[in-house]
Amino acid sequence: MINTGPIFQGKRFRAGPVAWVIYFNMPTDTKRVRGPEVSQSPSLFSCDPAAVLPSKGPRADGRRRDQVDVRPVFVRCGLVSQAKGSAYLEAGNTKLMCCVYGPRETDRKDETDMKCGRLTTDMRFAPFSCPERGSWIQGSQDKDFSLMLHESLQPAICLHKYPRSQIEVSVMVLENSGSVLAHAVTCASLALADAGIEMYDLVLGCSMRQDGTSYVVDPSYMEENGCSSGSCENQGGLTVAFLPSLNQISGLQSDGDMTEETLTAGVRTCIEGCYKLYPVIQRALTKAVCKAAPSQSES
Amino acid sequence: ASDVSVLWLPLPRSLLTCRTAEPLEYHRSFLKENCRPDGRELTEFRTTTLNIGSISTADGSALVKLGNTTIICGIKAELANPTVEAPGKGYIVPNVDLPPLCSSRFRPGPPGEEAQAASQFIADVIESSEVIKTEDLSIDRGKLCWVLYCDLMCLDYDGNILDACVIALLAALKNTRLPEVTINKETSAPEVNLEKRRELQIHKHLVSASFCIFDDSILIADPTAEEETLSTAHLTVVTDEDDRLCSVHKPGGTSLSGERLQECISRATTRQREIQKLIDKVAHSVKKAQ
Repeated sequence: MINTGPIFQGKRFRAGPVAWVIYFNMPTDTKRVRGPEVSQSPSLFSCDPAAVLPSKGPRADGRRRDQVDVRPVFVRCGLVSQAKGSAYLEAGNTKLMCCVYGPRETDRKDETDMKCGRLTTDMRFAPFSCPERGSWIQGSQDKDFSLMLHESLQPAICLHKYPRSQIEVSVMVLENSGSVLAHAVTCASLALADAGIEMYDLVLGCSMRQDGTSYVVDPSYMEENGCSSGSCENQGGLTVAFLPSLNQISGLQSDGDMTEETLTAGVRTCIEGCYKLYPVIQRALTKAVCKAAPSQSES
Repeated sequence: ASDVSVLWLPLPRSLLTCRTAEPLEYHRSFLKENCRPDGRELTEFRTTTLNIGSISTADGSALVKLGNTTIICGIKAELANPTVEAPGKGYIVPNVDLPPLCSSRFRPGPPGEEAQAASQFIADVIESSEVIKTEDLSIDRGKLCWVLYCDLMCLDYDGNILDACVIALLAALKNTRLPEVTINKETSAPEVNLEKRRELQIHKHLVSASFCIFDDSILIADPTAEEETLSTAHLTVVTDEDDRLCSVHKPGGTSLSGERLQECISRATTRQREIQKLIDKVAHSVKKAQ
């Protein structure tokens, strides 16, 4: 296999149609500056063996097992000047940002619905967000998350009030430190509220991980993906998207192998986690509204 | 100072509608008074804030806010085989991404023209100025080297992304710490010690300054997105700490006289000193905190 390497790095754009012939057997991205064909993460060659997480005892960051112990959350609305509404959420080391554009004219005119609006969601991971570098091209997992985000948010938005319009929600994960989908749902509904989109209720997300007989709420990246020393049965993860005022679940995602009782108990745990998050989110929204509203002295 | 107070009085309705209906006339009315709609002087740059090392999954990271424009740079280091032509050199692969979340003008999909042009500009600047010598990235000549993936992402697009990208890249490179790699003599396999890390050696402190030309004659520094769309030419000057010129990027547009170019270069050198002080201050405070 010919290694073209950095010779072509600087000249790709000027070569024009010739470049396509050269890259015929290289199906990777041709619109970006290319590096070596294959590169590996240094953690594969690490001298220390992979840390095995104990399935009993305290969690790595000091939170408790079998309790609804969610990470403290920092939220801020209205950080992006170009977007209609935006929100930034930090939970432990998980950092994500969401921007909302719209309501505006639909891109695809033939699919315009005269009676209600459309919601498009897009969830992306920055390449530096996970311990292993991700690629720029959206993989199937990104698309899967975008779809789940769409399912969770759609029931909460009054789309019938925006006929022939499109609302775009984009989430960008800057650092993935576990339970990314749950926090993305919360961040997205905050951004929608900041944009002034009419909704029936906020959508909050919470996730948990079942490990044998004990469970952890709001797992970190190591807890989600790390290998466990315990038995292989009754292991799995669950993410719930919940509307607190209406007491309805708009999205549920689960993987792994769990018994029925574990699953129902897990759903109840996640709902409790959402209720714990609710006052923080409400406070952040009221702060954002007060900041945007004219002060008393001016009016 | 007196100019600024006049600007912030409630504008008459006629001037407000003028901004959306006739943006060029609106900007011209300010330029006649030698200032801009946001109250800046013609050669004044927006407030720059810098935050280093906030992304723990990246080997080095930096977040830059230039007014409203926000760029985040994350650097990830991976291991690869060097090329046959350059066995003693590593790779630096920069990429600029303008996702749909930063502005409504970008649609989801492959990178557009502007993102590709910005990526190419950053790649050229790194290669020609040798801010990091690729020989420093070699571990085992001919067999193993480092690849530094520098991913720049725009979170808020309000003009002048090139300047913000260069600052973010430089700050992130200063923040990058590579783990120590040794080659096992018997198995000739690399062994990485993730706990022991060393810093990168930065040879040049590059800072860029962007300008744009209005009506073929008026030169303004650090344009916002609105000013960029109304201008007739763009110019970016990259200088280093020894007041040397690293790169001048002027992609077409109206012509510029020699003296105006010289003015831009001197403004760029002053800007370089301001930004270098800022980066050093922030890097020092991060080190002290560690």
